[in-house]
Amino acid sequence: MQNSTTRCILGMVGTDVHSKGLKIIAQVLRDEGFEVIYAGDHHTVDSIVSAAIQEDADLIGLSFSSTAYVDYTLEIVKALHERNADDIAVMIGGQIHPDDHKILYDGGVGGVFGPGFKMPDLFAFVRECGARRRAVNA
Amino acid sequence: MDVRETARLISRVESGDEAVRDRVKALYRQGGRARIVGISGPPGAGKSTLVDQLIERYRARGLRVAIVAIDPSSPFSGGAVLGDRVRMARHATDRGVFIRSLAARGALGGLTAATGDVLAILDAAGWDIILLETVGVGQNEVEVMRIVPAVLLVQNPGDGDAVQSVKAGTLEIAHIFAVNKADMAGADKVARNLQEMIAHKARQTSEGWEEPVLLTEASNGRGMDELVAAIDARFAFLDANPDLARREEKTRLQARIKELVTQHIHRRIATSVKNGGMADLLDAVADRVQDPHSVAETLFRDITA
Repeated sequence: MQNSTTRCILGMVGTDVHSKGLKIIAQVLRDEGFEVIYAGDHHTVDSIVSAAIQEDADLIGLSFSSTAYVDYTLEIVKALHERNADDIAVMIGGQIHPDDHKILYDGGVGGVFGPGFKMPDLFAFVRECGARRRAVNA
Repeated sequence: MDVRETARLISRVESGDEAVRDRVKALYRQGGRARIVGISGPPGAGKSTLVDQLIERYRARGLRVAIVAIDPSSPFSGGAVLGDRVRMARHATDRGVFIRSLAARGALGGLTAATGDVLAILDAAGWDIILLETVGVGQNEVEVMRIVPAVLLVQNPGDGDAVQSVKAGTLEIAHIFAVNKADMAGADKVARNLQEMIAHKARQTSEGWEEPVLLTEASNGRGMDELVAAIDARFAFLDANPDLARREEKTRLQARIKELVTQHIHRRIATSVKNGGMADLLDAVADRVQDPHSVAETLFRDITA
């Protein structure tokens, strides 16, 4: 029985502790039919990437309320590449400034969901990440 | 098999991908080394915190530890929030620890089969200890413990839970009992209740094995050395009684194989239904020309032909 579900790991890096948004996204994604691995806060680049690989996640979702998101996110994209896990997409949300969108997308981030984002767009992106990985692995 | 390959294989097994079945068959034959411990209990009992402590102790012995943490899927959306690994986060960068979260995916009883395969993969991949954690809320989550040789049941100190464990049937499955959060009021009472219920069980979980009831405080490590010793003792008991160990192993395998056969039948029926195989038969039954039993017998003959 083919029974695939898109798996998304959600977490926060650094000392950021404002995890309420992350918890809400976790529930919302669950109610939309996705499997969310809730990895919590206080992650390092190594720990969140290691977790994503162990969980064979289709994508990593990061939430930021601090301003260091560009550095952290691009490091995570780089670490995924170094560990041969480029097929795991990266999306970020939270206090993301529109001026930073270009550097993020150019740096390999797949989805940016800053203030005012629309839920249907988020769902479509998550679904697409799962579908893409399944097509590759088929 | 590196971590990434292990993780991807687990995903394929989870999604029922038949293409990897030959691989899984071979891996099963290569296994048999790992010590597998099941940990179950009601939500909020502190299982994940306890597992976190067990990881620390096993790592101190130089053992490589894999954890499979199963959580229920939402019956409405089919999705899930898998939040067990958060409590073991401090081990996230330890290359000697592998943590995998699985959703029960409304398993239709297929949880045991899929879990069996995941355990076989991890065993063959060389993990020394495999901890299987489930929340004892549904029948499936309790049933899956039948395939594991050492089962630990973790209880809350609150009163009602002692009765709960009798209802859920976990009393018959567990080899070791831990009343966690033992610093809270009522813990001693729950421990004594459990001891009484164990003494009055119709049969022991494992013949000749005395089931210990321990008091633990996973959040600060109290009672954890005793718990590790009890798990060691369980495996020592099996090693010292090879005939019994083998009998129990065969019983466990029987449960897995029965479920695999059932899955095959489910798959065939699903295919048959999809191909319109049942359509005419259903009309006949609705018209009372045929009856459900006869149709089921015909269908069974067809799919097993």
